[in-house]
Amino acid sequence: MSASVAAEGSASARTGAWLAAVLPPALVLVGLFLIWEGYVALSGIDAVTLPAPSRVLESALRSRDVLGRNALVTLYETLAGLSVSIVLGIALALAIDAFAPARRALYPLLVGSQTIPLVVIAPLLVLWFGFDLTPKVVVVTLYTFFPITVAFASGLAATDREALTLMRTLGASRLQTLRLLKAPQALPYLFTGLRIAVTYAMVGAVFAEWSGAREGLGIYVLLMKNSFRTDLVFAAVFLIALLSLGLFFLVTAVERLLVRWR
Amino acid sequence: MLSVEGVAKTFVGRRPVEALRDVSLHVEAGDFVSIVGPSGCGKSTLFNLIAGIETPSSGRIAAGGETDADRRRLSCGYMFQKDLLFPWRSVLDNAALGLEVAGVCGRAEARSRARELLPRFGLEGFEGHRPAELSGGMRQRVALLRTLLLKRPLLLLDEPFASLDALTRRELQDWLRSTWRTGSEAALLVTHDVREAIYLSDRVYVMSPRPGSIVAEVAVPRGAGGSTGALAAAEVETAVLRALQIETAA
Ligand SMILES: Nc1ncnc2c1ncn2[C@@H]1O[C@H](COP(=O)(O)OP(=O)(O)OP(=O)(O)O)[C@@H](O)[C@H]1O
Ligand SMILES: [Mg+2]
Repeated sequence: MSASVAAEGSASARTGAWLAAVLPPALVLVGLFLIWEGYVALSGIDAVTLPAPSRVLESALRSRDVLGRNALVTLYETLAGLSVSIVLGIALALAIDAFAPARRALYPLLVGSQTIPLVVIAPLLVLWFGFDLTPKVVVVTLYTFFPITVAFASGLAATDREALTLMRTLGASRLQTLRLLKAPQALPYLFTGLRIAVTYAMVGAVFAEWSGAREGLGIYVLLMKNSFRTDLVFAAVFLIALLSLGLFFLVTAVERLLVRWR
Repeated sequence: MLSVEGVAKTFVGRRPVEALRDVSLHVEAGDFVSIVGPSGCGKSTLFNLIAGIETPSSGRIAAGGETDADRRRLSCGYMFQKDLLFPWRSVLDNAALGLEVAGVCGRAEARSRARELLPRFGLEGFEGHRPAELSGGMRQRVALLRTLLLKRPLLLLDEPFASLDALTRRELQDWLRSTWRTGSEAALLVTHDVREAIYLSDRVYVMSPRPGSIVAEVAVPRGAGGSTGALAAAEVETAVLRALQIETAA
């Protein structure tokens, strides 16, 4: 019944809800920038230590070509790593759900994989795989497959027992039960995991670049820091945040499209 | 059609639960039979045993000539206490689920068979709706359609109308009486409502509190046209209530 009410919600009501969601954080952000700007102006702090936001924006616009080119590289690595993560995470979750021995064998290893200090492993990966795409994809995957696996596996496990019994009485095979019942009902869980994954993904890519890359926001940040362009370091950081936010909303939009019954 | 002989069920576990003790009952082809009994006496358990979802601790069950649990499962059309509609499927796709799983026909054919029956189930024009957009009565009808479309010989209906208001319930009872034969040869109904049992069935089994066993079998006389006179119905009701050991006003 609540669904029918929601369906009747007019476009203006939806715009209102959207504004209510976006306006408060936007106002807080503007407030913070104003305080920052005021502090820099009043304290007379030098621009290498702390550039004013207006200066960051100005430099960003002037360097937009090179920022854009590097961002594209990082975005590409992020998406490649996420794709591997999604495939790997779904496969692992299915294995964990299907076989109790797999659950016992895999869970400790998965948790263990999350304790690997990436600071240590990233330079090694560069040593093994070079300066190209591979080490970045590996790091992004290590950062992101875990939430996807755990979320989807718990979604599959949360399937209503009576619904499973219904499928048995209908004579469904295991594969049919998975396809028609378990997978669709676990889909919202998968998206929850995916939302967590995309917030980490870009940071993973930047971090991998930091350890060795020819192009990308990570290596760009490092170069700018070394040449005392703090304004451009900030510009790159904001760009990373913005792109991560974009990925997050992309996932939410795809979820809206696929999980329409909620 | 269905014979249950001396069936007992004890759930083993940390604290064993004896749910059923020595239950025997019979349903012939063409019969509509009801089971009434107090809450928790093992009615749903009995259905799960008949449908081959759980195995009896002792006793013998044959449905449609099948004693093997896996094959028996496929001769029962089981409608659960809850509607168990899948929220991501439309009304039509929920109704067609059983046919789709059975693979007797393709998905398109399953949907078209379901669509044909929508008007009879009062669901015309709702095929694209999601379960969340339906009333409780409509959801039960979709669940019933999903069950009936399978055309399994034996219908098992576990309190299908318990969650409905009196008016909707009466409407669905009427309508079940006229539709259940579309695909099935016999029906077994669990209910708390003695009048519902009498209204719908040819025979009523009464169960004792847990551990459940059959304490009475009451036949419902049917006049011409299949209806029961008010006096006869009251007599049957008294007999059933006495078996349930409930004090009656009269
Ligand atoms: N899987 C199980 N394990 C242990 N005990 C169970 C199990 N299923 C049912 N029981 C117990 O068996 C008894 C009978 O349960 P059942 O659900 O068959 O009752 P019922 O007659 O259908 O009740 P209601 O009218 O409330 O639906 C209950 O005491 C219940 O707690
Ligand atoms: Mg029950």
